[in-house]
Amino acid sequence: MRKSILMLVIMVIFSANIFAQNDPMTNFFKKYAGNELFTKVTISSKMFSMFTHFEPNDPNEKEMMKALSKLKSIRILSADSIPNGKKYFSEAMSSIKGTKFEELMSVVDGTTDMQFMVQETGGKISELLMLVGGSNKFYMLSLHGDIDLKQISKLSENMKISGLEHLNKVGGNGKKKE
Amino acid sequence: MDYKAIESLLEMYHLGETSLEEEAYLIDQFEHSEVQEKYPQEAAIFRYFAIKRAEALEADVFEKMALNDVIVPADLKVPDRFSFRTISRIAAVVFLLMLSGLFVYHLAVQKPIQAEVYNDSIEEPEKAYEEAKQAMLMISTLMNAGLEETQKIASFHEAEEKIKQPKL
Repeated sequence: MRKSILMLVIMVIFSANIFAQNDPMTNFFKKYAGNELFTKVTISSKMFSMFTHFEPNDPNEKEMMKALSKLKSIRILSADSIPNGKKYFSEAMSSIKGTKFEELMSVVDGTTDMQFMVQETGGKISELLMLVGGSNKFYMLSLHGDIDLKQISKLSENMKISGLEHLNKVGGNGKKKE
Repeated sequence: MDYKAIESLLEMYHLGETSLEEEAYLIDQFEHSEVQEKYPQEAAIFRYFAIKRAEALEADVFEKMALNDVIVPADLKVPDRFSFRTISRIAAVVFLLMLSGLFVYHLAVQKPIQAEVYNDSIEEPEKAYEEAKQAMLMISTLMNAGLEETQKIASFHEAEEKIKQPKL
């Protein structure tokens, strides 16, 4: 009798661990991955391992490579011309509620909502999720692996970026919400 | 004494054609000493049968008497077919079956979908590197923009607090 109870407990723990893998953001990603309005990009750990063959000379590229080498996966879901980007932003936010994600930063202005969420495992950041929702755009970026926020923050300071015009708005008129 | 009938039944008995009732009749007849004397060969057999029949009757009577003496307590609970133990065993089996079903469903249906989600959408490493780089830069830039905003608000609050403080 004791043996069977022990077996049952082990099976429940084992199965809970397996079923827990189906996180809400995976479901969200799955839901819109097939939608023509969205662009889907997924990069797996296998692909990251192939990056090690690149040998950049530029120190900034080296820094980028160092940051990427710690990652296990990147998932991007983006749309630049959708009718109501904020609707998708709200949907993504509500699907995260009650999960292990913790808010890192939230910026809200009249046209764009932005949210940074992190998930910690053993004192280290194992997942970084960024959600951006505007009147006609939506971005979801998810990084998996060993994430160093300071290192990520340095990347843009070192490199010049183009094509991110909406950032000026966020930087100029945004209101910080804790 | 109907010796003709006894003789005829004995013949049938030797041929193995007698019924149980007829054999019982013969056993009864061999209780009499005249019959025993007339048929001494068969007498031993039928007396043996008579003794065995009496023993069987005694055992039957004893069993009935013993059963009558057994006192059944009024509050005695007869084990139920659907006791808690039985139900819990059935529930455990059902639970295990359901769990196994879910496990199989997860492996057969959910896992392939998840695998698809984590599959690379770009096959060339150079292009994948560019995409990864752009994603990292986008996160970095937006994060820095947010931090800048936080610093601005923090400085504003600091200045506000200084103004509110009374001059000593």
